[in-house]
Amino acid sequence: MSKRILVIEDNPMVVKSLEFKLKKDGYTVVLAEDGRVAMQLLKDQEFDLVLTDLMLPFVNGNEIIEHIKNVNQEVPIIVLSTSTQEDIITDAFEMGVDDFITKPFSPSELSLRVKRTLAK
Amino acid sequence: MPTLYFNLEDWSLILKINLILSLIFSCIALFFVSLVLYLRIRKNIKESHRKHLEARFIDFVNAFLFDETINKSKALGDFKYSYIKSSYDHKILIKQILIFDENLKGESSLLIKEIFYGLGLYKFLLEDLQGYRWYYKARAMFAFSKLGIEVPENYVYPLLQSKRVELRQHAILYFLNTSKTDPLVFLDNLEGRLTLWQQVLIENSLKSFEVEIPDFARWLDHHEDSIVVFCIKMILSFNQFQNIPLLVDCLDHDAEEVRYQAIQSLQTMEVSEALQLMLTHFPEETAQNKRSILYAIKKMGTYKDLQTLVPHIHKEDENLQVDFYKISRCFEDQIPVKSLLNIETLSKDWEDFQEYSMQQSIGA
Amino acid sequence: MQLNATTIIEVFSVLFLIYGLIIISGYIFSAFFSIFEIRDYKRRNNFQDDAALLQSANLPAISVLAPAYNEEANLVENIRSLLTLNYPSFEIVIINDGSKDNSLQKLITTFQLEEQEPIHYNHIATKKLKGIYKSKIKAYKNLRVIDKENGGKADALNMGINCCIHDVICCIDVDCVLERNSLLKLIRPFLNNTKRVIASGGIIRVANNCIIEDGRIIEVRLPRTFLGKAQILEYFRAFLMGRMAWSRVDGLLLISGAFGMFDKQTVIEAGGYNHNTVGEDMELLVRMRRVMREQGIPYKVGFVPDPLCWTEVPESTQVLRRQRNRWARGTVETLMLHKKMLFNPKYGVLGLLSTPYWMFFEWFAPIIEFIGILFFIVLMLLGKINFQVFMIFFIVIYTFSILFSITAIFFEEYSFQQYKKPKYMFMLIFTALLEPILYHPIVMWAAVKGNIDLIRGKKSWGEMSRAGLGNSGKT
Repeated sequence: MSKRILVIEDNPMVVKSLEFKLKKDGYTVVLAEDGRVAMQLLKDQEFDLVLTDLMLPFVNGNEIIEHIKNVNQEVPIIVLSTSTQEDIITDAFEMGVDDFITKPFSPSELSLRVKRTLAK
Repeated sequence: MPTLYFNLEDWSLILKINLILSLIFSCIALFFVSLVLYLRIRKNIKESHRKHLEARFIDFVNAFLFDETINKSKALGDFKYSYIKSSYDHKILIKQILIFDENLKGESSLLIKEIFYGLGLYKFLLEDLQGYRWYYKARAMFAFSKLGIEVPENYVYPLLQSKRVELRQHAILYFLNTSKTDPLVFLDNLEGRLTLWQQVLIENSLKSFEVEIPDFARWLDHHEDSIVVFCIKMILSFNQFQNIPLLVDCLDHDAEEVRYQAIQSLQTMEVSEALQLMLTHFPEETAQNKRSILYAIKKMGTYKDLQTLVPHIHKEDENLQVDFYKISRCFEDQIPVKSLLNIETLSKDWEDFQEYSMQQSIGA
Repeated sequence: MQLNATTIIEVFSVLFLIYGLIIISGYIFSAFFSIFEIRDYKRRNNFQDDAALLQSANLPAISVLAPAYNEEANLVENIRSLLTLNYPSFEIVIINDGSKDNSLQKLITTFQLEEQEPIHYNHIATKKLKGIYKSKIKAYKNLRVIDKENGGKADALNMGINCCIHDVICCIDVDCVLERNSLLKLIRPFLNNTKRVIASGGIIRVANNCIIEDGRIIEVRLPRTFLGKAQILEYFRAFLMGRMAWSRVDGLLLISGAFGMFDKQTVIEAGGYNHNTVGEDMELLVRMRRVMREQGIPYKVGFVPDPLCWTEVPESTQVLRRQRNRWARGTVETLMLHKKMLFNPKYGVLGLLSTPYWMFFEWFAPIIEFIGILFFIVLMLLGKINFQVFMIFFIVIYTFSILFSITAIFFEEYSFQQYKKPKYMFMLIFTALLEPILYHPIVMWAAVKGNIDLIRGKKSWGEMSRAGLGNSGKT
C-alpha cells in the first residue's frame, strides 16, 4: 500500500505542485488548506508523514506540530516554510520535526527528502 | 412671502440656487449609481474569468513541470492559443508566474521561465516597459527583476534617474538581480538613506543569488549611516566572520544607530572578545545602547561583567535598572546578591544596592 | 413685526447657505484628494512583494497589545486567531484589565500559562500589576497575558506598553477580526519612509452579519439591520473619503483605537494614553504629533487603505447613541486639551487645517444643524415661514447627503470592493436614500447630547454590549 502523506499548506499553487509531484512519486496525498482542517484530519486518520507550512489560517503550524507530537511521536514531520530565520528553524527542530525546507523549494529535492524521511 | 405659491418667477434668488443645486446633486448621484452598478457587474465577470483561467494555468504549469510525457512546445502553443486573449489574461498569468517563481527553485524555476517566454509574456511586458505609464513600467520592471530576466539595457538605464521613487527602486533591483558580478556596486554612489524596505528587498534578492555575495566590509566606512547599518546586518546574515574585527571597530562609530547595530550583530555572532570594549563604552553610551549592552552580557558575559556596570547605572535610570534586574535573574542561583534587589522597591533601593555591590567586588 | 421676521429668515438663510457651501466645498476637496490617493495607492501596490517581507529577519518586531475587559465569551478564540497572523516576529500581549468574569482562569487553563516574575518597565504610570503569564507550550510562546487592576482601556494599554518587549506596538481591540497579513501591511509605512514614522492606521470595516469562523472572515455580508447598513455608509465616508484625503496632506488626527500601529518610543515620549479622556485614541495621536512638531523632528503618520480590521458596530439605537455620545465628548475633550494648536501656523497643516476641520465638521456641525432645525421648527410654529421654503432647503440638503453617500459607495467600488454581490450594492444605495432621514438625526442628537453631558461633567464609559463576533454568522 502506498504511503499516506498529509500536506498542510494554504497557498493553492504550492498545494497543487506538491500534490502533483508527490502523487507522481507514488504516494497517497491528503490535502488540508488550513490548520483547522488539518487538525480534524489528524484526529480521524493515520498518516505516514506530515508536510506542513508554519503560517497557516486558524491554527498555526507550531500548534499542529505540538499536537502531532503529543498524540503520536512516530509520525515524521517535514516543515515547508518561507521563514529563513534561525530561531524559527531551531524552534521547529526542538519541537521534534524531522526536516525543514525553506521556500522557494526545489520539487525534486523535496521529493528526495520525503523519501529519505520515510525510510528512517 | 406669506402664502404658498408655485410661480418660479417670484422665488427669491436663494431658493432658485437651492433648487438648481438639488437638481445637479441628483444628476451626479444618479450618474454614480449607474457607474457603481456597471463596475460591480463587470468586476464580477472579470473575477470569475480570472479564477477559471488561474485554475487552468496551475494545472498546465504542473503538467509542464512534472509530467515528462507531454510535448512541451505543443502544450505551450495550445495553451497560448486557447486561453490568452486579452491583456487582462496576460496580467493574470504574469501574477501566477511570479507566485510560482517565488515558491520554486532549481530546475523548476528554469521551466517557469520557459513558460514565461513561451506564452509571450516577455513580449507583453517589454511593450509595457516602453510605454509611458509609470505604473506599467514599474510592474514590468518588477516582474523582470523578480524572474531575473534580462532586457535591453537602454530601456532600464533611464529609469535609474526617474522622478518616481518606485521606478528607481525597481531599476536598482533589476540591476542587482541580473548582474553577474558586483551586484551592489550602486551602493558606492548612493545618496540619501537606504530605507528598511529597500534593505529588505536587497537582502531578499541576495538570498536567491547565484553569483558570489559581495564582501560587505567595503561599505562599512560609507558616509551614509543607513548603508553602514545595512552592511552590518548583512555581515551577520551571510556569516562573513572574516569581518568581525571591522564590526568591533564600528563600536566606536559616531552614529548611534551604527553602534547599536554593531552591538546587536556582535552579540548574535557571540563574539565575546568584543564584550570588554562594550563594557568600556557603557558609561558614555545612549540609553538604548546601554540597554543592548546589558543584553549582550546576558548572551555572552558573566555576572561579574554585569556587576562592573552597577556604578554606571544611575538612580534615575529606572528602566535600565529593570533591565539589570531581569538579566541578573538569568545568572541563576550562584549569586546571592540578587536577593537584595526587590522589583517592587527597585529604584528606591538602587543606591543601597550600588553601595553593597561595590563592597562586594572589593571584598571578592 | 412681519418685516422683522422676514429679515431674520433672509439673514438666516444666507448664513445657512454660507455654512452649507463651506461644508460642501470641504467634502468636494476631500473627495478629490481621496480619489487621487486611492489611485496612487493602488498603483504603487499593484505588485506587492509580501514574500520578501516574510522572509526577512530584519523587519521590526511588533508587540500586539490587546486590552480585555470581561471578554470571556470569545477571548480564547480571538487569541488563537491572533496567533496565526502572518508576520515573521511578533508577540501578543493580552492585558486583562481587572475583568470581573472568568477570563484569566480560562486563559490559564487553555494555554497552560504559568506565572512569571512580575517585572516591567515604568515608562508610564499605571494601575497596579497583578501578574504576568506565559505559556509552557512552545506553540504559544508568542503569547503573554498581563493581569492588572481595573483602570480602563487607556490604562490597560499603558500597562501593555510597560510590559511589552518590542519597539513597534500595535494596539487593537481584542474582539476585532484582523486579516492575516494586516501586520505586514500596516508596518509598510514604517519601512518605506525616510522620516521618522510615529504611527500608522488602517481602515475599519463592519463585521456585523459577516460569516466569521474562528476569527476569520469567510464571507462578507451586509448587516441585517438598517442601523448596521447605515453605519457601513458612514464608515465608507469617514475612511475612504475622510481619512484617505487627510493622509494625502499628512493631516490625520485620528487612528482608530480598534487597530493602529505606533512607534513605542514616541508614545512614551508623548506620555502614553491619557486615561482622563474618553477619546484616548484621538488624543494620543494629536499629542504625539504635537510633541514631534514642538521638538522640530520631521515625522510622518502612515495610512493603509486596505481592508485589514473588521469590527462589530452597535445595532441597537441605545448602544449606538451611547457610542456617539462618547465620540463627541472625546473629540471635544481632545480639541480643548490641544486648543493651543487651533489656527496656529506653528503647527502647519495640523493647526491650520486638521484641527479647524475637526472643530467645524465634527464638533460644531451637529450643534449648528440642531440649532438650525430648532429654529426652523419655531418659525414654522409661529407661522413665520412657509412650507415651500422649508421643503426647498430640505431637498437641497437631502440630495447633497445622498450624493455624498453614493460617492462614498463609488469609492468603495473603485478601491477595495468588499461587497461582491450586486444585490448588496442596491441595498447600500437604498440605505443611502433613507439614511439622512432615519439615521442621521439619531447620531446628530447623540453628538449634541454628548456636548451637553460634557458641560454637565459626565465622564462615564458607555459600555458596549457586543453580540459576540463568532456567533454573528451562525444563524
